[in-house]
Amino acid sequence: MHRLSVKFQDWLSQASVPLTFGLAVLLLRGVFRYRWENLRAFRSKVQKLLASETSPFLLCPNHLTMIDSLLLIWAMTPAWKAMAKPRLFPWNTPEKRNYANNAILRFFCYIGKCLPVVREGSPSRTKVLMNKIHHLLKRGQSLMMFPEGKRSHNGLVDTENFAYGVGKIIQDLRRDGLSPKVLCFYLRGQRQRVKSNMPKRGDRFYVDVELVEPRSAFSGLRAARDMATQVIQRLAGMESAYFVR
Amino acid sequence: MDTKEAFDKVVAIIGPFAKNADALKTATRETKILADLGVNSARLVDIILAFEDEFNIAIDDDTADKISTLGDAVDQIVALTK
Repeated sequence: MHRLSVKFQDWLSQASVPLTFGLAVLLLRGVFRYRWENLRAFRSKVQKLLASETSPFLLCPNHLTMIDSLLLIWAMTPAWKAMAKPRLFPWNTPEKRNYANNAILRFFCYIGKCLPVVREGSPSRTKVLMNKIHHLLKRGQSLMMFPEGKRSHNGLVDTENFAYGVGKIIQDLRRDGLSPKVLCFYLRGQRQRVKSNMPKRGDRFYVDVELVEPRSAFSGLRAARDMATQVIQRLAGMESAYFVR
Repeated sequence: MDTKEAFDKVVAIIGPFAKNADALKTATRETKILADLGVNSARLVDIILAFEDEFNIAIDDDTADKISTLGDAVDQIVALTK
């Protein structure tokens, strides 16, 4: 039943790409006047990485604003390519409370490939979500997930209090004989100091991507923590590279 | 290991992760680890791993999912150390 519902959502989301991408670009570029420092080079790097592999992909960005995933999806690909290659249009896992009480947001999140997460939710609910994610990744789709689990308070990647969900997903996929890969994204507006709901109007964004294949000698929860730590450390390294440019 | 000893050790392990220090002082078996003690759900994994180290046990995912209150934690630990 869950697989059928996610299949229908996938079909509807892909069919709606011209609408969702069109509106997103109109809003972000036209209304908020956002611009990119290095869009062409970034797109070519991402598309090369995603196209050359058949492995399940997790896309793990740092997290500073409420629209980070929207910005990254815009940066990753033009609409026509997202229609042809569904994995260029990743699934997302936003916190349900952030949008569930607004019908319009709920609709756009649905056709924007969002799977709602309930923080501190019941284990059974989490299990259903993890099964959906596992199913989609096994079918070659990609998932964008913020490994920190929340926006960073001080504007820097939080290397202490992060979630281990990314490690758990990687571990479950490996158990099925798959070789999941992680694309770490570092995204930052020039005028972004600490976390905010939206980037400042007219901000110009830097974005970079690196491929990581987390592995662990441990098992169980310890392995999940170890692999999530590797992803966070790579993001912290990308952040250092950003600040020494 | 008796239940009282396990309970005291569990409280000591959770202490550094609990945002609600008052609830920790008056904690009972029914105290909920996340809701009452204000432990961040992401830190639950660290707590489970600390239980494994302290009690020299292995807690699988299904067992970890059953731990919601301090009493649940104590019961699972006592069962696994038998």
